[in-house]
Amino acid sequence: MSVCRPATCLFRRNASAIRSSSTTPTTIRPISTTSIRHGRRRPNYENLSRTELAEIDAATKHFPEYTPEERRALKHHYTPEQIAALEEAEKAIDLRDLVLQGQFRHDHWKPSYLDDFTTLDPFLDKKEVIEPTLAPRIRPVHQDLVTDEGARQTLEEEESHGIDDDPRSTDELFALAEAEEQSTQIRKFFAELKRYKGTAREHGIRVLLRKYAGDYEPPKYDIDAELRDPLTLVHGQGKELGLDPAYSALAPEVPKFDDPRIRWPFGDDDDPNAAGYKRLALQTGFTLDQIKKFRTKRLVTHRVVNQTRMGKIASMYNLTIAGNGQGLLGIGEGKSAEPEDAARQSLLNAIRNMKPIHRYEGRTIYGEVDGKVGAVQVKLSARPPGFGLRVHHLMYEMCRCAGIADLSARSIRSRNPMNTIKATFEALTAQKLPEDIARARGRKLIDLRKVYYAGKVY
Amino acid sequence: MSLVNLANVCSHLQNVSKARLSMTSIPMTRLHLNLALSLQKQGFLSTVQVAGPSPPALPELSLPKDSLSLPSDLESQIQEEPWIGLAYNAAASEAISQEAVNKRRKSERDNADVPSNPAQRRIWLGMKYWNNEPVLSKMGLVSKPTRRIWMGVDDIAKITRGRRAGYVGGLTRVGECLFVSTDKGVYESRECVERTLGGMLLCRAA
Repeated sequence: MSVCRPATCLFRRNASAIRSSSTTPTTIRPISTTSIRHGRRRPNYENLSRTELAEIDAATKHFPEYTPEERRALKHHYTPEQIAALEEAEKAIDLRDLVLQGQFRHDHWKPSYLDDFTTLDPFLDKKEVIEPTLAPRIRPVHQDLVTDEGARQTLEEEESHGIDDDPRSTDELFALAEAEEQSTQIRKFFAELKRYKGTAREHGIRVLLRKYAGDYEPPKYDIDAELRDPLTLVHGQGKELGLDPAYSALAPEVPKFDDPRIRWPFGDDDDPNAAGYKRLALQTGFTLDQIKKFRTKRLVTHRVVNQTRMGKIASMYNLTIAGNGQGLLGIGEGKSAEPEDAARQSLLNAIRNMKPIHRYEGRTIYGEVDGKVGAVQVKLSARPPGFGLRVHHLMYEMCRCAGIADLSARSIRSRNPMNTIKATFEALTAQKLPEDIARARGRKLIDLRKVYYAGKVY
Repeated sequence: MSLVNLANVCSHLQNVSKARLSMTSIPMTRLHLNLALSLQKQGFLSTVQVAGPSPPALPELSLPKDSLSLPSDLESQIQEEPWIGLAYNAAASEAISQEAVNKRRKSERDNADVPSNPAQRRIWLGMKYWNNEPVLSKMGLVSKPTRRIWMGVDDIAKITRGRRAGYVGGLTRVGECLFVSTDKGVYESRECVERTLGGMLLCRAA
């Protein structure tokens, strides 16, 4: 507190505190921003009945002790002092508090790692990269290995290996190795090795020589890169610039699928449905159980006829939506001569196309958004809690899938079902967050509800 | 106080944003200037400058001669040790900024950019873009030249809370702003509520 604060303020503060039992608010304007509490003070501890206490105590039984196996496993990771500290820390937390106050955060700034990291979430986690194990074993060769015995050992070891992706010929390797090596003794050894050319031992010799000649490096100059990169065409001498991806004007290439099963269907699966789900699991990273739990609905089905000179060719069109009921929503189209095939395609596409949708408080959207596809124009508006879904029946299904509970919508102009769904999806994904707008305008944004309710809001 | 020209300005700013231009000019009137400053205050514009038919001089960017002595083999040195470039960069920007500040001060004192003939003056606006999106994407009149709308604080407060007041819809979109011309100047509707000011509704921007 500042010494300069006039004493009158202090006295006023006390005076108002004394009168706090009266219900009439004080007319004196306090100097402090902290509000003065009027009326009866609430107790710091909640009054609980015996049954409530018993319920809480029963709930504390859900936090089990460490099993002996777990204790043994802990010993591998922590020192005895650390384990003691952990145990003390856990003892310090009252289990009743854990039951009463332990809660998941739902606010916008919550950390993105709610889980215990045992499973991979395809939206939050990077895909696990498994190192290929096919690469030939490469060991450094010391000078002392190049005695006759040592060399023979290496040769025999390497002969059993077998993979050679070096395009250089054995003669080239000999020439390179001799150019690299100065010692006459080793050169003589190379000359001896030349008699193994064309025999079964050639591979081992190549491996040995590569350690002197250096590994094969493909030529740095990439013709494709030059043709693709417009920079090199403008500046004649910008070849190095063009080769460096950091200076490329092009977007980075779409990563190739590592797993061939993603691109080509399984050969061993007769059931196209099961095969489709398996491929989808590989593509999206969701498990089959998760995929089965998604809420899906086929909303549009019609027959399309194409008139050609051969006659009329009919096919089926399907539009399906999919969502997890917690902010993910996707729409998928499927077209095929076979009705089941079209339905399956649309379903798989819908799950594949799922996108996150911003939800305000996990129940409605942010503000008012528009979507327009063809002649269909939709306008979605956020609504207060308990308002419900007063929307077009197709939008209703989409909201149920996405997990939106309060919304109203107007679809002015056309109401074509297919385009209504597409326009609604466009509108839902086009929402702008207040934080983003504040950042774009360079202004500070404070969520007053958060301040008022001490952060205990969505 | 021509709202016809203001309508033109609104459409022009929308078109400029769509074309992703960095700078544009609008006719110089007091209303336009006040509105532009209000837009800048809300963060829609980066700069507002009064100048002639050609854009105002930008701060000097080229390096003044003899301000820095660069070693002859600097290029090869930078090839090997790229980080030494940073030191030169900092020194250069210091030199540039000092030079530019002096020049700017002088031009501001002389009002060199503003023509003496008022008919030739224009307002130059710097547009803002973030995340590949224009910051000011929609702008349209509320009052029309044939029908002006005046409102008191109560109605303006209603609009800022997202409710309809009279024929004017509420600010329901995220980050939408309504600009009001009051006797104290042009203010955003929320500022009007704060200061209990009523006035003529000019335009809304988002």
